[in-house]
Amino acid sequence: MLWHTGCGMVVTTGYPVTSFNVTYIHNLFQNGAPTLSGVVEMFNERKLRGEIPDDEEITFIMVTGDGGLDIGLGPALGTAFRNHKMIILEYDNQGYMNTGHQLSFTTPMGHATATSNVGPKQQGKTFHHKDSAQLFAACHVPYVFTACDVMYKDLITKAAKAQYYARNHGLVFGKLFSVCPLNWRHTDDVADDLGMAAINSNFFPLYEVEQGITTLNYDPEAKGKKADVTEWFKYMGKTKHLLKPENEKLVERFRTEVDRRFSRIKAMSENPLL
Amino acid sequence: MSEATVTEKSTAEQVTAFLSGNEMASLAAAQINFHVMGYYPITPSTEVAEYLDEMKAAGKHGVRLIPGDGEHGAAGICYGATTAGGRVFNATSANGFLFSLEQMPVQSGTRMPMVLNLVCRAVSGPLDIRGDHSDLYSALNLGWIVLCAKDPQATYDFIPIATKVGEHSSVRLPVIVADDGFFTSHQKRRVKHFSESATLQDFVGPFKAEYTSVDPKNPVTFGPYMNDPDMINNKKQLSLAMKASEDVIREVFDEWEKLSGRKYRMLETYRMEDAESAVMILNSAVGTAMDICDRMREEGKKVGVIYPTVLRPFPAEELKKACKNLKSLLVADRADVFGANGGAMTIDAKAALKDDPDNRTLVMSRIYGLGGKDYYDHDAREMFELALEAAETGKVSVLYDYIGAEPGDPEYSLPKGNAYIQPETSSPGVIKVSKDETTGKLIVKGVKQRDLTKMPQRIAAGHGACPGCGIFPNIGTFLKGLKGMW
Repeated sequence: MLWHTGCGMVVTTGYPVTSFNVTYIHNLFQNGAPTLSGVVEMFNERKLRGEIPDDEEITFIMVTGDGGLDIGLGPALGTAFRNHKMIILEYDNQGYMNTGHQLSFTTPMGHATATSNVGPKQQGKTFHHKDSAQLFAACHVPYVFTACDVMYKDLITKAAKAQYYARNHGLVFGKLFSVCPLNWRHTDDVADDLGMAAINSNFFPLYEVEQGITTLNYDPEAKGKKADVTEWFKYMGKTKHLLKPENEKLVERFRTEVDRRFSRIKAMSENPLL
Repeated sequence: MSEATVTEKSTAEQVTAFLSGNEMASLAAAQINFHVMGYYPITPSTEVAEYLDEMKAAGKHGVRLIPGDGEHGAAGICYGATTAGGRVFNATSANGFLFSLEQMPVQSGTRMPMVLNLVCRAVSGPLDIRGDHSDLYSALNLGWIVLCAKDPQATYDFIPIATKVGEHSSVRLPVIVADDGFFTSHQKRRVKHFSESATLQDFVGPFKAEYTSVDPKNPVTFGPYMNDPDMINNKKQLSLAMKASEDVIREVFDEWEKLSGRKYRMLETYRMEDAESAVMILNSAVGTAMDICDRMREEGKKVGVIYPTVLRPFPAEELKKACKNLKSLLVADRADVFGANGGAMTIDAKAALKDDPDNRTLVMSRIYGLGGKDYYDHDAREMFELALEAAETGKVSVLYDYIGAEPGDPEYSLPKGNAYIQPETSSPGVIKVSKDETTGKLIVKGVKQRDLTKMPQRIAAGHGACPGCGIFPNIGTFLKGLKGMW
């Protein structure tokens, strides 16, 4: 498993101890994906040369935050184009948490961070969030998915598929909605409700793209659970200002974009050609 | 110390050929059969990956070639591959090297040996693709061993040497083999190489890794989070490994001499036995300096040449010995360390000589040959004469300066370019864009071939594109759709 620099990395391997029961590699956070691809290809080459037994099987996983996937997007896409047999997992907590919560490209519009502050002249981040799952889908890799631990059966099913595709076909990309009580400013007992609210508001659609075919795994409307984005906002300090009446226009812009993106995923799910 | 020598006591079969530095680098890499090369093309090192790919297509080696998304990604591929327990090779130059710079201390700081052929080129900007040492001078503080190959023969020889030195159990460091872009990388020279790949493979031996990232039964951590108080210990160990490499390099040079008949030393000296003044210079310029040294010796002038083969670790002891009775030394740097009154090699040389309390050598710095500017015999002569003058007068008149830079013709001014495109020319009213309020879509009218001739040409004739090039028809046609100044 390779983690490149990020908040998840710095809390796990403070020398001389480690939280990992498996082999772990760190590289700087622009370069985790290429680095793991180097491991994969050295493994393959050494198998080819008979230095590693033919039946040795390893699942190669690279873990990045959404920040590592901003600064390291080019290298990660390059790795996807080469289609190595490995998994890239993005834990998306919508900000640069390792450096104290600055905006990342996945920070949603209007959300407050240390570099998208709220004041009389500015109401949080000024542009929309990056859609990393669709970026990787556009690389035409065998398997792309989004998931959240609040829907654990869905997540584990996708993990099993991810391993199959990474062993037999090529690169897998998975995006995980990951709460951050510290910087989203919410109590640590609301994670499940908060995650479900984000999913039910259509902000974080749970879907997978398997060999180019999109499947929406959970449709809030069909389940009778469709919630407004403000239902999600109310859990967090970083979105408190968005609940004020004067920000309704901004919220409407955000809602429209969220629904537009969700509808596209739904349409893709309904038509395999999309 | 004596002149560089070639002794003929080789055992394995060698063939004589006429090859360039890049050809020799790729040949050595192919013969060693590195497991992996993560690469990204940049002039003038590009050919190394090209030749390796050609040879791979012909079935001549098994090096797995992985194209990075850039040199930074390529360096990541190399790093990951080294953790997985095999041999790794790469070649790059100039800004490509600088693009990957932050990865270099990761490679050395976690003690993962690999070999990088740095085909030295000027770091832009302005953009310059030709050879100087401005990339090399960024490589001196990274914890990599740096070997300097002055000709294609040395490039070939140093790749197996670098492999063996870096992988030595008391070293475990990555190694740069630096040769000069174009001067060495592209100019063919008479060379010798082994006819069988097995010769180099036997020389380097099997790759041994204590730990690998692909051994699930022995889980390990590569690159933990390490702040104080541990990081200083990591660097101390790296420093000790660099020191230990000095003896290892000497040993491997000896082994190479036994195998190939070609002898290398940490620091080479030429006609230095009774020299009073010397020029210290690096890589491809050495030959010219030695030629002029010979001519000036004929004129009765006591001059010599010093050139390091190993730049990291810096051969301080060898330099002190070489300069023991030397009155003056001119250090020629093919890259500046701006604001430091001398290039990196000057600073290293001065520091080494300062440590010898008996040394009285006067040292001066001259920057030359930047951006691939040729090093001519008159440049070399000027250097020797400056050194001789200091020896005669007992003082250095100008400590630091450039040789070969010129102010240009003060009378010359650039011819005036075309007048800017007037608003009425740029917006002749041919194309009209409106929005259909019901569909929200844009409607464009006026895209008619004849009318479009009124649109201005925004790219002037006279560019150097190939006949039939598709770039300018595309960009030019696109620009016909734009109105306004731009």
